[in-house]
Amino acid sequence: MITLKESSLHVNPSGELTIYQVEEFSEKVKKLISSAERLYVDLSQLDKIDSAGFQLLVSLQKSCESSQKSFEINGITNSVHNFMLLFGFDWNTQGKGAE
Amino acid sequence: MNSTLQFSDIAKEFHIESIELLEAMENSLVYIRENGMDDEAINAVFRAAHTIKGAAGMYKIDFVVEFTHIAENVLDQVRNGTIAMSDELSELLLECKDHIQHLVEFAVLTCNEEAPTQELCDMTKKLGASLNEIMPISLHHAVDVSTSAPITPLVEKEWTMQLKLGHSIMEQGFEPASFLAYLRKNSATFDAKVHVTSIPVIEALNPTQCYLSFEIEFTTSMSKEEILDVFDFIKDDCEIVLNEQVTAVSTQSVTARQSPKEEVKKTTTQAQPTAYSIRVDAEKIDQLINLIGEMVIANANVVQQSIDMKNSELIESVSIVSRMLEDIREGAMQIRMVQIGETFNKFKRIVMDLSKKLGKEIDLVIKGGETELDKTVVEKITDPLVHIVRNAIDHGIELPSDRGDKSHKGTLTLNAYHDAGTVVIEISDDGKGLDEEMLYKKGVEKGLIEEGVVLSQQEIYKLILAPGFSTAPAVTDLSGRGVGMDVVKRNIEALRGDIEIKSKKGEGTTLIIRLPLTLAIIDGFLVKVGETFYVVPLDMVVECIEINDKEKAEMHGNNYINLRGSILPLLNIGAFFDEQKNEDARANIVVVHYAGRRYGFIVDELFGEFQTVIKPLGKIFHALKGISGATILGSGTVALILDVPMLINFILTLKGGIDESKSA
Repeated sequence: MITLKESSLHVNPSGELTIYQVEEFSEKVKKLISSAERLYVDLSQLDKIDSAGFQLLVSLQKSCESSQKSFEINGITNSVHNFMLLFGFDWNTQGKGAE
Repeated sequence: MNSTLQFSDIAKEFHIESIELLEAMENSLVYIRENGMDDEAINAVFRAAHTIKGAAGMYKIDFVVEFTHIAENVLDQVRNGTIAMSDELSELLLECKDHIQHLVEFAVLTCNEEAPTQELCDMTKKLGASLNEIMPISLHHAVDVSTSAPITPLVEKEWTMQLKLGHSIMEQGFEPASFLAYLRKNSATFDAKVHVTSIPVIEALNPTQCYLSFEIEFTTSMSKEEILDVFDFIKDDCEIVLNEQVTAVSTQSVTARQSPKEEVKKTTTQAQPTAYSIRVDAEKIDQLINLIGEMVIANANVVQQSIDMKNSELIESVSIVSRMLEDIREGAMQIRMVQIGETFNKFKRIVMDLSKKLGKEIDLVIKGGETELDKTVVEKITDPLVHIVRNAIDHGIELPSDRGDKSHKGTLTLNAYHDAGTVVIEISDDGKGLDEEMLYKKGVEKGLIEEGVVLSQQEIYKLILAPGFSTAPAVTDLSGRGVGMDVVKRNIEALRGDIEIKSKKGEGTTLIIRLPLTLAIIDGFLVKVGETFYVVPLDMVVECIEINDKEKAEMHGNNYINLRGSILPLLNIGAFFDEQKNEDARANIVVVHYAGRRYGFIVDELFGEFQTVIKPLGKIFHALKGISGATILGSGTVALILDVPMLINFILTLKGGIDESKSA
């Protein structure tokens, strides 16, 4: 679910965000991101994520950083947390330790 | 881009590869079923599903991708230890494998231009639901730390790995997290850091392309090879730098650690396959072997010409070429040689499924799987073997409650070995054995034999190979229609092989199939009878004897002689083929060895070894007995290849089954 409200883009994926959904998902986001000043990502409805979904979220964060938009990510479920744990990735430090 | 056109171009290739992967999948699942959970086997299953999904994804065969994806999810959890393997699950996964095969075959048949049939859709739904029941909804690729118990290694080593993944691996159906999760499951300590520097901004992102690389520090008892094996099926698309820092923690003394710098051994793997193999169309190999066959015939002519010219230098040169040609022939034949073990392994599933269906308990024992024979022979023998195995399970091995003093579990043994230029395949069961009286009675009932006719034990047993013969009280979907075993006999004879039956009432039955090693080129032994040249397969020739007048007088009317104290049954080839008699010339016996016994063929002249290209005889000679093919000599003359098994059967018919000729 992707909605644009008063220049805030709300990205709330539900169910799965995997290689089977990312193409469609990224197309929708690409259309709306230029009109947004802020990006809110809510993962509380996400059951499953894979590397493709992870890359998409990181890419969104990078897009916001490069165009000075604010980026917020919330609602990290257990399954998403475990996935980040496996990759040694932290949204706050954005994996800088590995870079 | 016309993807359908592309698929039709590669459909054959896709089909062959998928079937191979599915066979590997089945073998591994059957192995797990027999031996319990096994990391290597479940990896092989996962890998097969993964690869099929990736290939199907590339050609947009959505119905294969969708179903395989569900199965793959479950497999991923099984291999990560989140879902426990059970008999029910392995059974379900075997059904999934069958269904994937049906889907693949449908895609190939329709060139991926049609939607799957209702039947296929229903099965997808049914199996998908069963798989989803197993799959807890919140599961994902990464394993919860609490669910995977790390192994307790005896000797652990610290490793660091730089892993740079190829761009296309996700598009091929591989999930990077799965590799990491597996590595973590097998490590005592594990710390990975993902590098996200290569991930572009959303405008430049290709969402299905992989931009990830990792730096991983872990402690494991796995060897370097085992670690690299984890990435085996993506190694061609990624760069791995593996550094080992040795820390010995054995049960004995702990050595003081040196400085890490001194200990570091660097291993870089960048798509360096250790074994190299290519897939070659079987037709191309057949073509090559045919050409070599023609060359052998042409060479025989050159040899003949050089002898006629009495030019010693030419003779020497020709003999060098002949030797090289023999090596080439040997090499080409080796290409077509495959181990029968692969065929035998297919029976594990058949035995498992049929015994379950019939409520029987049966162990399958496989021996001699490494025995090699011509791929063409293997392909033609597979179906007859299926019939024989099904019969053994259905008619031979009893229900556990009917096995009396025997173990309640029956045993079916498949055994293969080489014997005198032939391959012997034995199918034995420890079931109820054959009932001679009942077979005889049935034979009379079916009009196959006349009441009162005297038959040898072997002849009675061989009634089961007659068309329309069945001892089954009722027709089932397994057997009892009286078809099958006669087809088995026909197929084996078409391969120039023969079949023997041994049985003991109450103890079991063994079917012994003898087949030629190859159908193309053999080493032969050239002889002459009357005006005709004949070739005896060299592997069967034991010795040649020149008979003096005294022995001639003792030949008992050409029936047998006393050879160094044992009886040697004889067959007069001249008389058998109605050659013109030449009393003066008939003075040689070629002693052959077949099925553990020795026999003698009376011939006129011996010419020695000769490389023989087997040319099948035309349909007009279909009913010709005693000849299995023909070949062309250097002089252009046709020589006939003797069908030794058939001729020996003829000797035995004459003798009513001679038993005195057993070899020591």
